[in-house]
Amino acid sequence: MKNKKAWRYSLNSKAFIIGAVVIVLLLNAILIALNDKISLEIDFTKDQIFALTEESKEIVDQIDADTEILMLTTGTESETLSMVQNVLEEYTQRNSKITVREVDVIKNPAEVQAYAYELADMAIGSLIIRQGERYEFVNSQDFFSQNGYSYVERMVTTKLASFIDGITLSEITFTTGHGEQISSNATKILEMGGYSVKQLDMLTGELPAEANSLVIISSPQTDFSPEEIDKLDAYLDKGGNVQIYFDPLYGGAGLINLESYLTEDWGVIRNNDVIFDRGNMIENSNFMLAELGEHEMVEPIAESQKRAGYGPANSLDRAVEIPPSVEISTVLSTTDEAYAKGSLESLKEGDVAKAPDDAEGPFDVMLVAERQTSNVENEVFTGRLVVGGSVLIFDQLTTDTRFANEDLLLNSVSWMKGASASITVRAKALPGGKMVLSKTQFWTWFVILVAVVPLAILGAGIVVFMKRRYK
Amino acid sequence: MTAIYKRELRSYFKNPVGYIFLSAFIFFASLMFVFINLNSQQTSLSGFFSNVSLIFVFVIPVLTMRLFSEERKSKTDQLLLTAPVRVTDIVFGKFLAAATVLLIGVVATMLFIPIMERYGTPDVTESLVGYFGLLLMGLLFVSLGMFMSSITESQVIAAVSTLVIIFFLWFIGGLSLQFSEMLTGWLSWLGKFLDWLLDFISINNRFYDFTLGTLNLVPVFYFVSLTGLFVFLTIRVIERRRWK
Repeated sequence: MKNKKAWRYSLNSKAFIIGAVVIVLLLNAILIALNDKISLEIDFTKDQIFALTEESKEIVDQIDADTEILMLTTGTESETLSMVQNVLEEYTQRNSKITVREVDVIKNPAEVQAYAYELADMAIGSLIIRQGERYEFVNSQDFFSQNGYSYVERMVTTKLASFIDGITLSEITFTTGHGEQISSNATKILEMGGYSVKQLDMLTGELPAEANSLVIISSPQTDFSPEEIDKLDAYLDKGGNVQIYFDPLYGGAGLINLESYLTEDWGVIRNNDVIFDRGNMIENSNFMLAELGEHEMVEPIAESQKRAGYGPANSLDRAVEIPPSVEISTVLSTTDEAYAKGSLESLKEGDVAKAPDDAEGPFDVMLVAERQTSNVENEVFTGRLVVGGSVLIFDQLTTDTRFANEDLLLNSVSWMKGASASITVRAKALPGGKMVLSKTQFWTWFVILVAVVPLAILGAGIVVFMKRRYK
Repeated sequence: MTAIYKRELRSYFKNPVGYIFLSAFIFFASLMFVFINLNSQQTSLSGFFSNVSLIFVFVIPVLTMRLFSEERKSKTDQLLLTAPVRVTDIVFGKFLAAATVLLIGVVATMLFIPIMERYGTPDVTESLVGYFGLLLMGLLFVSLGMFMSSITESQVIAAVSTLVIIFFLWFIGGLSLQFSEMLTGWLSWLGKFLDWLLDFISINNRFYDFTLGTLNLVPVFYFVSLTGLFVFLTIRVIERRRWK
């Protein structure tokens, strides 16, 4: 009787335990499966790095064909890959047409080689996004910037958008044919920003017709022909956007047609000089910190207390007679301690000290001008022109984390293109920031945290132990 | 339950165990904070959280090894089991006492946030999410250690077996075993299940979300449910012993 009771109790107990284990496993499995379909996550990161922006959601919702994202791995986990996986999960949860699959490039190189990319060019974590026969490549080396931003969502959304009919990437055209310096840094930043970057020889090609397009003339060496100036003017008359960057380092002294067009039609003068703002000069370099103007383009930079920079620059002036339809604002300028030398020779000779005949600041380094025109049907167009005195503003300095020039470039482009550049997904700030503490402070905390506190606790334990022992 | 909780908590600080646990945990956690954050001048605690969980593998067995083993060896468990208290109260009292000591250790390391605030601008919410995950993970280890302590009368066996299991759970995610590639054909379902199971039991995979500053219901439920399961298993073990 007693044995039977014991046997029954033991059986009940085992059934209970097995039941509890099964229930726990089952509930977890259900939740994991549910998490694949809907997001069960609250993102507490500062910039919601793992949650899709509204712009991305709009694009993702429009994907109506099966789309597969192949993630290239070597079968090992890493923090970076996990971060990317977390972002990609948001896409699959939002739209069941989108799936993610990891491809081990070591075990399965043939699968990747089927695409027209060199395996050597594909960093681990890179993505191939494919829909039917079409596919796009996203290089993982571009996922995170040195200044602490994540571009994962921006790049994935941009590529997904290319699969949707009717959505075209905002176009940015660099002119060629005048010895222009096309910045690879700026091109990369703009492409990562969701823009389609093209080059155009203005003599043979036509400027884009879309009002939200943008044309960049980067440090031309030779002058524009009158026909080209006419094309540029007609483009701006129809509400086009143009950015022109001069640079004393690249010369470009004889740009008579271009400069007189800017002066007469826009009231902007480019001076053939070189600015020095010694008080704002970065040590061991030719880079200088710029004073920010009050234009909306630089407002976010001022709010974030960052500074934009520039290299050796031509100063810019406003003409005495500015056409009445034109409005000019300062974007970047120097302090009033700046001075401008008449030639680049002094810089080459290393003699940058202020001479009595040097022009005195403050000078404008980057200006923006808006011009309103109307056609015969009384339609009003606003042409926008940005003129910079240094090509470094949007070239080398955009990748230098000491400056906010990447933000400046993207802000200027999105301001010029207006709301129509809607597929641009902003880059997101990565978690964490920098601390500034001296060596003494570091070692002080080291001693307190690693030695004093643990030893104090251990000491208290020894005292308690000894007291009890010899009581 | 309150009486058992108080008695147990007091015993942690009447013995060197509580002090050894706290000083060892704070020492290693501080070492990681100093080298991961202060040395590289980073305000994100995600690297710290990823590494500090490893400390639990070694220090939590110290905290839990004596919970039931010691009573069993010194035969004081007979007193406890015949006392007019429910087994659930005994187990919960002991679990909460160990959890309190763990909490003291984790809260002590929260001092790192104001230190970082002095020299930078850390994201406090993001850090608190990490600490919440760390605490949940610690509670799971405590419940596991308590269970191991309940099935043996040797403190050493309890500690070593807890360490081995936690170590296994901690590292299993990093092994990248792909059973689905090894088991093909009619066994492919087994391969997929084993892959899922390995991913499921990997503590690190579950903890990772917290280190990023995201609060996901899946890992929260994982830690809570497994903690509950081990507490339940401990109750069954003690219940069985009492009944015997």
